[in-house]
Amino acid sequence: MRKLYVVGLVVLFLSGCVSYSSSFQRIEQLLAQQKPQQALLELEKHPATGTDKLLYLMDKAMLQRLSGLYKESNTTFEEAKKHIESLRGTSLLEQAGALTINDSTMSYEGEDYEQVAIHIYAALNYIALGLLDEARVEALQVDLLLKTMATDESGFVEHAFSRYLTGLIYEAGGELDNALIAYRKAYQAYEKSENTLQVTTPVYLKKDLLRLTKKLGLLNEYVDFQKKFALADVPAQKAKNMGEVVLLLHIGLAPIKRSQSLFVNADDGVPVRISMPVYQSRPSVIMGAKLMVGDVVAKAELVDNIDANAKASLESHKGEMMARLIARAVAKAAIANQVGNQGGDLAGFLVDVVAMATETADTRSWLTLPKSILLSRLQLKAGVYPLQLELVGRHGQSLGMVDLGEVEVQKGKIFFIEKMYISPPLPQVVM
Amino acid sequence: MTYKNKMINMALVAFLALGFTACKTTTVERVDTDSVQDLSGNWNDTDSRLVSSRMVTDMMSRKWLTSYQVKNGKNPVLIVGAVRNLSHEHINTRTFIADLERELINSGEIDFVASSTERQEIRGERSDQAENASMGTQNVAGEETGADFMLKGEINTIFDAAADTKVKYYQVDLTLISLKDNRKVWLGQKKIKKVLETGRFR
Repeated sequence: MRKLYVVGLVVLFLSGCVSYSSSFQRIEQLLAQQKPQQALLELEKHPATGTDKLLYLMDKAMLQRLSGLYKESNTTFEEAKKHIESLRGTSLLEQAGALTINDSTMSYEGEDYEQVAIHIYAALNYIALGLLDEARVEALQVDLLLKTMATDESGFVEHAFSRYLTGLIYEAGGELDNALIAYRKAYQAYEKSENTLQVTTPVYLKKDLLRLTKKLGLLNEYVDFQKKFALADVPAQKAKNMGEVVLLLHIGLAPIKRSQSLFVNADDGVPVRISMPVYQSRPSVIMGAKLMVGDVVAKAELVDNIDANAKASLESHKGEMMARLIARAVAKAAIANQVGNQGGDLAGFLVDVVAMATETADTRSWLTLPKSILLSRLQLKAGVYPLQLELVGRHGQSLGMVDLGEVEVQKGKIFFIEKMYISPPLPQVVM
Repeated sequence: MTYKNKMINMALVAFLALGFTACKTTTVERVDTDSVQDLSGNWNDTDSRLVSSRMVTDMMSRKWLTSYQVKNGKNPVLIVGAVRNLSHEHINTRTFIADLERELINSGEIDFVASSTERQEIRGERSDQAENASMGTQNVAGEETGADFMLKGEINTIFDAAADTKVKYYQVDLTLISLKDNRKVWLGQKKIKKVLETGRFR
C-alpha cells in the first residue's frame, strides 16, 4: 500500500511541469504572421507571477511595443526594472531549492544582455513617443547599469549597441560632446567584441566619429580616426539645411535555450548526470536590408548580434553553473543512496527517479527579443521624402519591398524609423 | 513500522513535496531585510515638495524682488517655462512645476500668467466669447498681461553604484530670466544626496 502511494506521487510529479518556454509556440507563430496584438492577448492569458514574473513582463512589454502601445510598454518595462531591483541579493529559500531540485526554482533575474535590452527598448519607445528627454533618461540608466556590471564579476564588460544608441539620443538632442563620448565607447566595444559577437564596427559609426571630432575641433583625434578607418575626408562645412533619417530594423528572434544532458565526473570520480542549458539559434531568412529614397540607397548594417551576445553571456557563467549542477547531482545521489540503504532498494530507486526527473536545465530566456538589429543612417536635405525598404536574403536576393510612407526631414533633426520582421512580409505582386 | 522506517518515509515525502513546489509558480516568500530598498530611493513627491518650497523661499527672500517692486510699484509677473529632466530617473516634472506654481502664487508677492499651452485654450474660449457671448459679459482679446520673468530649470543627477551601495545625487537648478532684456536675476540651486545600501539577502 505504502509503495503504491509513493509510486502514485512519482507519476503525478512526472506529469507536471510545463516550462515557460514550451508554451510559447503559439505566440511565436502569431508573431511570424505579423499579428502582435493577438500574440499579446495570447500571452496575457497566462500571466506569470512567481519566479517567471520577469520573463512575462519582458515579453509583455515587447509585444505591447510591437502592437504600437509604446506608453503601456514602458509602464511594463518600468515594472520589470522594479522587479529586477527587488531581486538583488540572494534568497536563501531559492538557493535551497536550486541546490536540491533545479535552477528553475530561482527567480529569473535576466541575463546581462536582457537587462541591457530593457533599457534599449524603453528608450526606443520614448523616441517613438517623441519624448527625447525621457529616452535620455534611459541612456543614463543603461550607462549606470553597464558601470555596475563592469564592477561585478559577471564578466560582462561593454555593450556596443547601447552605447551607439545612447550617442544617437545625445546627438538628436544636440549634445554633441556627450554623443562623441558615447560613440567612442561604442567604437571601443565593437573593436573588443568583434570576434566573440561577430559584429564589426559599423561604417556609419566610423563616419559619426569623423564628423563629430571634426565639428568639435579635435583634430588630432580626427586624423587618427581617418588613418584607422581609411575613409574619405569629411567636408569641413557641412551642407546647410540637412537633416537625418535613422532606420532601426529588428530581425528574427533571439535564440532559445534547450536542455542538454551530459555525464560528468564529480570530484570523487563518480559520474553524475547534469542538465545544462544550451542556446539554439532560431533561423531567420532576412539577412540584410537597404533603405531607399529615390536613387539614394543606404545599406543597413548589423549593429547588434543578440544571438551571439546571448551565447557569449551563457558561456561566461558556464563554469559557475556547472559547479552548482554537479554539487546538486552529488547531493541527490547521496540522498537516494541513503534511502536505498535504509528503506530498501525500491525506495532508493524511486528517490533516484524523482531526482532524475527534477533534474532539468533552466531554459528560461526572453523569447520575443530579436535575433539581430540593423541600422541605417541617411543624411538628407530638409524636405518630404517617400521612403522604401528592401529586405535582402542570405544570397543577396530581394525578399520584398516595404513602403515606409512619406517622411518629413527637418533641418538639424533626426527622424527615427523602427521596423521588426520575424519573417519577410508577403511579397508584393509585380505586374 | 519501525521508527527508522518512519523517518525514511517522512524524508521521502518531504523530498517529493519539495519536487512539487518546483513547478508551482508562486513559492517564494520574500523578506525585506533593508527598509531603504523598500523606499527605492527614487525621486518622489516628498523631494518634489521639499525642493520647490525651499527654492521659492530662497527666491522670495532675494533682492531682485524688492528692487523690482520699488522700481515699478507692482508685483512682478512670472511664467514658468520648461523644467528639463536631465536625470537618471523618469521624473514627472509637471508635478514639480505645479508645486512651484502653488508656492509662488500663495506667497502673494508674485503674479502669475498662464503657460503657453494653457493660453491657447483660453484664447480659444475668448474667440468663442467674441462670437457667442453678450456684449456686457465678453472678454475681449488684446488685454492679456505679459510676463516680466520666465522661470526655467533643469534636474540633473550623478549616480554611482558598486555591488551593494548606491549613491544618488540630485541637483535642481532654477533660473529666473527677465523677458525684457534676457538678464538672469536669480539662480536657485538645491541638492539632495542619498546613499542606498542593498541587502545581500532577501
